Amino acid sequence: MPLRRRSALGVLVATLLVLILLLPSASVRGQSQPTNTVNVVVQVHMSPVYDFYGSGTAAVVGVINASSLSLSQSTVVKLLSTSTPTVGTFVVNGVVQPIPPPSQVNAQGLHEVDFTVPANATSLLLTFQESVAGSGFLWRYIAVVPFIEVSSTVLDVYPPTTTMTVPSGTVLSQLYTAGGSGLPSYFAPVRGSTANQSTYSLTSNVGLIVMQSNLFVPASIAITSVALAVLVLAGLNLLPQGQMVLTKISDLIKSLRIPGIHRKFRLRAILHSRKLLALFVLCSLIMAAGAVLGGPNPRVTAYVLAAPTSVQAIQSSLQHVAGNVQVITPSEDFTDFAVMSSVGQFSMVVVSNYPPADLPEVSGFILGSLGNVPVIVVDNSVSSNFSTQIKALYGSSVMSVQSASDLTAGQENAIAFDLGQSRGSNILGISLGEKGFEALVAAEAVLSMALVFLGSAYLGSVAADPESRRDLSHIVTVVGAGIFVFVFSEAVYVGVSSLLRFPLSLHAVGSNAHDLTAIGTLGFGGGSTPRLAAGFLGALVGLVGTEGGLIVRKSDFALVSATLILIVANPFSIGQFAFQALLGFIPLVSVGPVAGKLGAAYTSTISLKSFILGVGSALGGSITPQYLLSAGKTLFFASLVPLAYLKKLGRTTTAIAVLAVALIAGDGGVRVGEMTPDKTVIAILPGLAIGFAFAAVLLGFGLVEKYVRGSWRSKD
Amino acid sequence: MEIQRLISASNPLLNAVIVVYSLVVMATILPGFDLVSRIILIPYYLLIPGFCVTQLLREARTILDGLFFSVAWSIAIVVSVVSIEGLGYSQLPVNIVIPVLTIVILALVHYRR
Repeated sequence: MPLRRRSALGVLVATLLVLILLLPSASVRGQSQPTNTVNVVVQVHMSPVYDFYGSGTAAVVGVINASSLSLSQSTVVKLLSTSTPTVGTFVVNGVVQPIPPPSQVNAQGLHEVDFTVPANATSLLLTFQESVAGSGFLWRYIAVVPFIEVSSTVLDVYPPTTTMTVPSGTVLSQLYTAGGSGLPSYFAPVRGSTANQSTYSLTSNVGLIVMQSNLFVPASIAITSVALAVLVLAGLNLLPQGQMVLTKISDLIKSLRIPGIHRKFRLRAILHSRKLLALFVLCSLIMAAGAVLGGPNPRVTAYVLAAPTSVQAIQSSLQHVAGNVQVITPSEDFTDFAVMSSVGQFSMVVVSNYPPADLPEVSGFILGSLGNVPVIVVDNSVSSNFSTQIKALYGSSVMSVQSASDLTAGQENAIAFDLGQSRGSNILGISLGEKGFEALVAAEAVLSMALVFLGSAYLGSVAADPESRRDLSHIVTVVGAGIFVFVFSEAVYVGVSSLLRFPLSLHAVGSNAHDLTAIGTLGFGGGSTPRLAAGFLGALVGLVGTEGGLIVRKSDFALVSATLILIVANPFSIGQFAFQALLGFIPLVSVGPVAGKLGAAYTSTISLKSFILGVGSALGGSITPQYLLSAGKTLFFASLVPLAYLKKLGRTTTAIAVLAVALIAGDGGVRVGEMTPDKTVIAILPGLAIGFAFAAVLLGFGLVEKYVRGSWRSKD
Repeated sequence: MEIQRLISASNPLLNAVIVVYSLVVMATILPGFDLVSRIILIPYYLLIPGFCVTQLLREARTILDGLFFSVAWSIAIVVSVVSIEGLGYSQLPVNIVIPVLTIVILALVHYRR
């Protein structure tokens, strides 16, 4: 056995022993209370990973104990957790019992272990373990506190007492609820510490903890001081002296005559707005050609509305009908059902015993789009109301069966016939097979990123075009180019997804979904963050990297970089705010639902979103569900006006504005993957109006800069 | 440039008209102010704030430029203020905020000349 695993096992056993030794005090509490009380003790062992971007895990050990039971009948106790609990021991009246069945995912998405306490039980002891993932980012560690609940209809269960151990030298810098609201530090008081570790009590409110090494603050102060020094030097225009040193280093490297280094970089000559436009269109043609030649998806995909415990049986039943059927359930995505079904992803929908409590929320997204799916199978376990609604709306397409998990031969034949009638085929009769199709989809995913990159680069190059005049025609050209890039990109996404019968990307899909979208096959879930990065970099390349593009001087670049470092590495609350905001762009699997929803940064995002939606409403957005406004799409169109004004700003303001506008365009451009053209149409006018508001802020900074530089009364 | 010269020539008079027009718009929030039709608000919000911004940024090179930017900036200002008001700042009436902003911008235009 490897040493690490042995030591981990040692820690686990020692923890269990400590917890069990601690339990007499809990049982004293139990004895002083009426009988039938249950204590739950949970200990979390954190192993933080301080990295630019990485992942780690925490070991969780729990004990459920009752020492004074008096039951008239047997009772079922439920252990619920966000992670997968594994029962270690189960002891009743001092006698070891068989381990309860493994956990199942319930309708709420929680892992559930049910165990029965017999009527003659006087004492109970159950131990369990689980592990929880965490993420390192910017040399801080983000850890999720597992949600654990024990419930019983007969027994009186105390809320879990949770403690957490961390290696010594760890500082708990930020605490949040599971929903992302900030909490003060006294919600996790220190319980004790040894030379190797510290122990904290965690109150039930704590759902997420950000921790850092105690070296973080001194390092942060040092980095911030350096950034401040650069800022002052840049401000006092003293950087040329420093640049002389850099020039000498550069000359030294050139004198080494490394192949390629001494040559002047000519990428700028290749990058030109017309060439970028040609590349952008060429990329779309390659994508469409690939989809025409390789599509549609050879695999049958079924959307199954059923209880998690029934999905496996339904999938087996469908595999008798159509071979290797892929099953997608609401737990993976239901808000994108309209888009998924519109591009023909689903060959059939199976409606079965979906939990009634969750049905209203899910059915609201699904019911209206069921008509996009050729085969609808409804079984007898569906509530009569829902079944009647489906039959009333889609009568001719609905096939009623007794049980979707146990189809008769006749029903299997009928479904197979309908699937055969409705499934599309390749126009050239080419069949790539499942492996070949997966490779094609991965290539399309890469090209879809390239499309966003090239579109943004073209847009940036138009905005920075040196031949363009600084008047109305320039603004109109940039706005026109931006609308063309977005609408055309979205059209390509829709077209290619329809040809493949597999969405390139989706709006609300989780970052851990791998087989719902083409981008998901590359491991990016819905692909929002990579699309943002592609759009951001594309805009930067177009603005600064193209022939005759905007000139950002080294001193201005140093000024902006130092300012950014000053904000991000700041040990004070401004640094914390920046960290919270950056988390919004990083898909942290472990953080899951609260990713990007932390503290003050999230509140600010909501305010900005409300402002955008407010302008949209004033200009006719969201009047009806048909013209529902998208804040993200509006943001993209809002970036076009500041883009057009970049050439009117002062030197330093331009450097800041280039980064800000590229980020806004990239963030908004993410929404081409949403594939909702009606939302695009309604977002254009509000977007342009907001664009003028954003431009006003940048132009204001520009005027202040001109005032400071003494060019306040210049002609520009 | 012709419109720029035209505007410069009639500068003091134009500024005075804008200030008075702004004061009239502000006065519309007074109870019982029924002497003037509310229709006067439409041309004001359609053109005046944006016209001042256009002057500040020196964008009115031709009549078409001036008209385009005046309308575009005006719409942006009006919908932005309405949206901010909807975020919970309803104590700031549009008929006060926008005319005040317009006068401030006009002062900056005057100072920048």
